[in-house]
Amino acid sequence: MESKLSPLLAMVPALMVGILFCMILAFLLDIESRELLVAIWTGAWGGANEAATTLSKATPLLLTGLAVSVAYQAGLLNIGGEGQLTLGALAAATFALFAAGLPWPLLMPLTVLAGALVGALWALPAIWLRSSRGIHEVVSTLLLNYVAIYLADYLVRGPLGDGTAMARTAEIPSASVWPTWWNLGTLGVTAAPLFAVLLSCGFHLWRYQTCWGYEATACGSNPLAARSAGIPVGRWQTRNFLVSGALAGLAGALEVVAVHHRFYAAFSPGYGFDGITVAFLVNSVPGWAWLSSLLLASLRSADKWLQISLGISPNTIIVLQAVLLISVACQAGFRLSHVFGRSNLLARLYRYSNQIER
Amino acid sequence: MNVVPLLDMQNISKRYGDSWANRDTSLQVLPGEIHALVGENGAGKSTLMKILFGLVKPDKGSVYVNGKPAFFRHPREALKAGIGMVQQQLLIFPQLTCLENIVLGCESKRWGGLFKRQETERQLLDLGRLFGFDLQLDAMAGALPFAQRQQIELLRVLYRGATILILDEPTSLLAPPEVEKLLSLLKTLQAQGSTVIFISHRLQEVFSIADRITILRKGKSIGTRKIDHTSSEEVAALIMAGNHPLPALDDGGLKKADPIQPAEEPPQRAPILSLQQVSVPREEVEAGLADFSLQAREGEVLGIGGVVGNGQRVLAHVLAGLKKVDKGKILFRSREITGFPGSRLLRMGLRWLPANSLEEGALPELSLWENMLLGFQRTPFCQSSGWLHKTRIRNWTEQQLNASEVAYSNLQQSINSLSGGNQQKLVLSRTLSDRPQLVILEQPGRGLDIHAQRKMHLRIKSLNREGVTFLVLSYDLEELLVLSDRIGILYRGRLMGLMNSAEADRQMLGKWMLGLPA
Repeated sequence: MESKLSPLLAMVPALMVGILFCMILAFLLDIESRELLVAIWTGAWGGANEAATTLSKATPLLLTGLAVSVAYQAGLLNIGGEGQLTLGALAAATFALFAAGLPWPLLMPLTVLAGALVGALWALPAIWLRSSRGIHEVVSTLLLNYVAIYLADYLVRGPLGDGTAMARTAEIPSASVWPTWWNLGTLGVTAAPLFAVLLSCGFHLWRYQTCWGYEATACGSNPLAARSAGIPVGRWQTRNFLVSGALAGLAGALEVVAVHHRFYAAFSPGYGFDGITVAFLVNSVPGWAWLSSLLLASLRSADKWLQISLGISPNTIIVLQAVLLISVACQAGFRLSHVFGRSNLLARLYRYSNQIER
Repeated sequence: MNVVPLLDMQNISKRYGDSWANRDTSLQVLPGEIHALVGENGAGKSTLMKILFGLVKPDKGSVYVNGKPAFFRHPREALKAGIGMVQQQLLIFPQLTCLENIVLGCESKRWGGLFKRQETERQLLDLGRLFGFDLQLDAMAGALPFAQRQQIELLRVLYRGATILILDEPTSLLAPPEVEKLLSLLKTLQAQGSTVIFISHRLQEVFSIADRITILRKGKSIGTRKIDHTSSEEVAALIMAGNHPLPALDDGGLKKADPIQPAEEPPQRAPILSLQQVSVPREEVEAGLADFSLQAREGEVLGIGGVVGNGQRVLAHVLAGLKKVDKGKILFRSREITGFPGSRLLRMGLRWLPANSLEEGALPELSLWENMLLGFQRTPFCQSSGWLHKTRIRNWTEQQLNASEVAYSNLQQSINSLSGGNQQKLVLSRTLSDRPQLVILEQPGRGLDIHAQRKMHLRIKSLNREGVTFLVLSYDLEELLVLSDRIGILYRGRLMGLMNSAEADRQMLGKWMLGLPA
């Protein structure tokens, strides 16, 4: 673990590249780059309604970001957030409808748990394939996404749907809906964002302050060394991966109970995949994921305002996000977290040549 | 007599970060000589040769071959100029045959791309006969013992027409008879007109075949001597000069006070560890264990030697709880521990230092204290109800690092920021801390310079006097002879024999290492 500020330092270059991209875009569109950045800010936080929207978009991002981070702690890449999230949402909606008779103190937590459970179940095949046959989890989780999305689509147009031709379930009973706590403008904010933040703080503490979090981190850092110290690497990898799936499923479940109050096919604009950006923008540190999830949520919220005020296609935001993700990925080679002193690149060269020595 | 040096490296400097690997180093090699390059680990010998061979780019300096400036940016260019290097880690392809390994990359082809197999075979056989190699060209390289794989590497550079051969620590992993063989091979090569530069820290070998010797120390060249104008004591003094004098290993009290019993075990000393007819299947290139039985007595230092690939790694993995045995039993203080997982063995006081202590014992990117914690994270000292006692852990880490003389600036810094040797010291210190009962050390001295090795040996001896039993697995016979009370040799997974190191017979040990019966 490098300095406590390293996650922030990881974000800085990516942001700089993002801003550079915005400036180039502004130049090409013949507008002031300041206007563009202000428009993004206004679209995301300009008013109470906008703020509420941004906060509610930040919740699933924070959870999927946590999912990626928890899996990565043990050295695994969970790219299946989108599928786990979709099926988690469908499971939550279906459970709520199925168990409609239960009183709200039971129904609310169980619904959300159902979503988390199904998310974990959807991650299970991937981790099983990895432990038993060494199949890389990136491949299996990525492909399972598509299976999940189409499966959910089929189910919601058929047996689990509400009978209409709109691929959706019926509305979930009010006993399972998360109430609005705080009225912002004409919209409200539920307990969901706070819940997600508390969860990320919990994971942060677990990871850095407990012996179990340490063991899982050791498995991700060097499984051979962890094994030689008697740590059951396979078990920790499985546990972290299943929890990762559960978190993504939870993200989907919260979307259902706190935002849409039913399951729509293709309701997710890519939250599962954005979780990867959220996690790596802050170097996979759970305690900072709230910051990157707010950043990405802001970008997502701003796209309509950009279209209205500046006539820019909402797809621009998608491109901007891609630019952020690429620059985060490039940082694997150029980490500026060793800012005072030699850059990581030189240190790696030194290590590489040392390896030839041995 | 002014002979134009064949190789002239002048004022070579190479810097890695804050430290200089070579500082203003010069070297002249005369044609047709065997030139030895000696010095401690970290003195810059390997780096200098890598610069010559084109693997590393120097920051300053120039290289002349036969009086003409020559600067190799890639080993390809060095090979074209007739310089070939055989590194310590052999780079062969285990799935290909010897022949394929030797010629890969410069196969002679007919037009159309067809490989001229027969012709190449003939060429290689002639070459082999000329120099006295005994390699079977169609054998699978992965199945061969280390010494033969080394021959593949040598043939590889000879096939490419190298007349200047650089060998980096060629004898460190060879059994004594194989060392003899290699040295006579080098003499034959010299007789045929090759020039040999030979990096070694073993002075007896150097003095048996070298013509001249250059001493490097901390990246600088201390001087070049003709072999008959100097002695191994003088060279050893030059290598060490300026360092604190090495504490002698043998001053009173370090060797065990009570006399070592002759070969049969005295019935009253209970074995702390007992392996009974343990059989483990082989692992790729490494032999498994075949009906292996061994008893380690309480309080002794038991050394197990052997040539690489004969089962030491598997033995270590079995004792660390990483590998299951097919047959046989393992007992720790008369309690059966066969099949126990590593975590349980750790709690019982059985520690293991892996062979590549960094690749297998360190957590890269994590901080110093996080590395020190590995293995101890569940002890009551380090946590309660799961919460880590960070202050306690940090203080303990600081203690250990200071005791091992590891230079660091901040406990939070990543372990990668330490030098390789310091990283190893950290891992070793962790393995030996907190009163272990039985410690299994794999290749403990590898990669450490003479000082660090000596300190480690002293630490082992002092812990041993306090009652810790050690099982040392090493390919380095010298290390074993210095450290152990008894030595056993592994060959193809079997224990060839055990003898007291006080009365050790190197010839016998060498025979055992090659599988020859007593």
